[in-house]
Amino acid sequence: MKKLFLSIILSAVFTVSAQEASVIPFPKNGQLYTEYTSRKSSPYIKKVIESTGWIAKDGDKFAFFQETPSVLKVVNKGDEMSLKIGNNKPMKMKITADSATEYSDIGLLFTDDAAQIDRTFSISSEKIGSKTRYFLKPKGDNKVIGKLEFMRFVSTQDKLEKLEIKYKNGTAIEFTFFNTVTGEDVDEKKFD
Amino acid sequence: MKKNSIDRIIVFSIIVVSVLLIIFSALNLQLDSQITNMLPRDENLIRSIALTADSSVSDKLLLYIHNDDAEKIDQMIDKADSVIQNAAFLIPNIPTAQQINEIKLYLQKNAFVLYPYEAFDAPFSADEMEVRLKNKFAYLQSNPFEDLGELFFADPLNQISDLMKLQFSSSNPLSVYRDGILSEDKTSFLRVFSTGSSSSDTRKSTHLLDLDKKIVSIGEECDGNSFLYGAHFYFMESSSTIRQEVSVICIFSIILTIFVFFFFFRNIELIFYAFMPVIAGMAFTFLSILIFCGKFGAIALGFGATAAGICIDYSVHYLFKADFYPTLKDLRRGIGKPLFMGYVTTVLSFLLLLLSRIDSLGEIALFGCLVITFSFIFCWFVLQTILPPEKIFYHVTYISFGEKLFAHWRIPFLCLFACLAVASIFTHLETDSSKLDIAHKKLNARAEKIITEFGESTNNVFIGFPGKTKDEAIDSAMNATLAIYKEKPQLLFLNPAIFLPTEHVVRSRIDYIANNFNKQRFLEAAAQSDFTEEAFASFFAALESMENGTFRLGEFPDYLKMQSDASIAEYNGMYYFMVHIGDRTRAEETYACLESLNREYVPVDIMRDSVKGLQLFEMKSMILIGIAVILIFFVIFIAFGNIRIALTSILPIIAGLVGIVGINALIQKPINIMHITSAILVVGIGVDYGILSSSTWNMRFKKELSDEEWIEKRNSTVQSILTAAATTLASFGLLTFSSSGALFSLGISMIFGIIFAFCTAVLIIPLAYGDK
Repeated sequence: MKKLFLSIILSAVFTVSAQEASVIPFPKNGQLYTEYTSRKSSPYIKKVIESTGWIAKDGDKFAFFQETPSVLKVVNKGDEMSLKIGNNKPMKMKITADSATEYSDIGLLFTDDAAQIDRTFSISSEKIGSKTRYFLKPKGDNKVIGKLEFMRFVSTQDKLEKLEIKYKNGTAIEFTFFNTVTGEDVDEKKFD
Repeated sequence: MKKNSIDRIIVFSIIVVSVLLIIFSALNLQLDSQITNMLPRDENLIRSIALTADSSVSDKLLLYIHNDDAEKIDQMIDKADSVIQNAAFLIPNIPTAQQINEIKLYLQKNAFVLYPYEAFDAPFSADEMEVRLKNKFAYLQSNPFEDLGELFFADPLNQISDLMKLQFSSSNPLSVYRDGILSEDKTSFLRVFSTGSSSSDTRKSTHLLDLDKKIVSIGEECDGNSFLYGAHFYFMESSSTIRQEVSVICIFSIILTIFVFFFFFRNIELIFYAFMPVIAGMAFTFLSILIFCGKFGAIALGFGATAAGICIDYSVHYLFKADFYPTLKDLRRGIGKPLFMGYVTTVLSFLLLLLSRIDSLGEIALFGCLVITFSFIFCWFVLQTILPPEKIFYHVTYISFGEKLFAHWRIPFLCLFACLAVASIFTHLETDSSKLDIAHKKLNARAEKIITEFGESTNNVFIGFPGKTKDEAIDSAMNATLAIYKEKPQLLFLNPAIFLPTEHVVRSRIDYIANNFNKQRFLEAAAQSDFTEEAFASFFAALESMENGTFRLGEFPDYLKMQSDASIAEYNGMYYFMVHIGDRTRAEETYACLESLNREYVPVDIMRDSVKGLQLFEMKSMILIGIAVILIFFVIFIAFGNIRIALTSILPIIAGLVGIVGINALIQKPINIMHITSAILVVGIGVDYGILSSSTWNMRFKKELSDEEWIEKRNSTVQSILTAAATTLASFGLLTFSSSGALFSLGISMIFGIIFAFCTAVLIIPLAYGDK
């Protein structure tokens, strides 16, 4: 499920980064830093789980950092992924072509391939003033993306503002992004 | 005397054909250099050898990479991967990300039944369930990627964390990385492979050696260090080192023996005549072994390389004496009996080695008996026929030993004898069979690095949990693991059986759950938690299936199944679940803990299991040698009908044995099986010296010869024994240069055994016949 969540975040980021400027914006120079708050709700839990953190991207490097309620960091560089929980040492593994295929769109998401993303999701958009609303629905049925109901996000130019992810089992996660910076160098330490 | 050209042709033809046969046989013989070849076979040891060979560790190979600059590790791993990818038989042993995920899903789905209720307190009290549900929610908060699906809620009491702790609490928190592990400081990397072959698979081992060279060069290119490590390299290093050393020793042994021979006979052509029986004997021996055995121990082959020094004795004694007799018939009447008795007693001493039940000693016995017999036959029937006394074309260069011989050396020799005899009291028996192997300095240094940086011992030390069936063995292993975890968690070892309970265990746990789990109590605890009632639908569905008997654990994850299957070894109709411990100190503590918990187990450690057998063998051998000396005494007494001859003939044996034991006590080397082997050889060779010396001095005692004839006879006998001793020393002495502990022990013992036997034959025996 980690991979599903990650793939969704990445797909959101890569979707924003996709080449087809007429449909999806592209963060300047493929560089992005943004902070977030999130709320996770589900028919299976009585209270909402809130978290805060940041996301960074620079070329083929990607980092997801959760600060609260506990520290967790996922870094992806090329075909290598590392996961660090709290003060434990990070676990590193290589994302092979096989595992990419097995967990459906992990591999294609990391390829930054807009055409592939387009084949995975059906994408519609609506422009309201300076903001654009996107709606993504998975095409077909596979192990990971198949659990997703839909994905909805709002962006202003190349900056994500809100992201909503809904799963078929009723679980929903809402991200609010702020202090977003695109087109500027990202501190290399973010990807350590 | 006119040399017969046909005789020369026959001699040279025999030599040429023999050399070709030796080369052909040596190239086609398979060498066995495993240390187990040198250990006495008792039941425990045989079992340990069989189980170790069948264990999951026996085919393992480690890839080690190190660089002080942690940034370069990835580059080195990439290069190593490109080298290794061509070796399709190397399969990474650490689970892939996909396999880890499969294991996690399996544990989550089945945690309720996998939890070991028979060993731990069940988490079914109201308080406990409340705490666990709270922890489960805390886990969810900490893991934003966790899927809130069926599998997550199939384990409401978070028992998966207990299972994970059960197997990973004692291991170091090393980073899982690129199908391997990183050290704590990230400067070293280790990956485990299965090779699918044992160390005796020469073809694969040779391939691994080539791979190792390439891996080592990667380390050199990147200013780091990298290598492969595994049992295969020990085997190949022992095998190739001994093969090379034996080849060199063989060549030098023959050269030295020829030199000694030439010193006394000063005739180059005679050397070919003298060595013809030796070379022919070796050729027939090698051929027989190739045809009937196909495979031979490296140590026995090492011995074979030096056998020239023993076999040449028959030619030497004959060629010395041929000068004294007019015809062959007269010569055989004169020295036939001593020569034949010398042959019989030497072969008898070799045959004693067969009682050792040690493969390498049996092979030495076989080689020794064959080579000596064939050499004797060629000497008696071919050399003596081609070159009878009437046809000799040489003159022996006699050394004049003076009237008093070496009488002035008696006191110093007796003093030395006394010193070594006293030193012998302080001797002790060898308990470490690894000392018989060559010193694998480079490989041991590699093992040391792995142990230091990763805490993983590479020793083949196991615990075997027995069972009449595989399920029984798995149950036994699982129960023992749980018991150890409760009693001494620091001794916990990796055991995949924990996650793969047998049908019987699953049923008993389901019964336990039915009798102890209170659904209502759980619902009350769940109502207090942050989870809704709908969350546990999958859990209740599983409970229902347990109640109505339809619950199934499901398919075991491939990786765990593979590890579990590989852990089961079979021996003598019993199954053993083998758990690798590695570190010997830890193993001893674990054995003690299992003993105190009354758990059935079998320690599997070849080195440890060989100690008892080794000591027992060494003690029995010493008794056997004593019996052999008594036996030889009676054989000589019956053959010669003279008690003085019989008694004096065994004096060189006794002195030789004191020399062997004494010198090793003095240099603080414990007595090992190769010292025992040399003792047996000295028995056979020493008695030759004793018989020749005694029968010669007996003539003096009986006044059968005039003074002039006596001096000539005495000098010829002494020179004959001296030549025989010198050739034996020339060949065995070279073994002291071998890096093999076994061959070194054989060499040093033979040197002192032969010197003491010789000195006794020429200095002490004369005293017994009144010759001062």
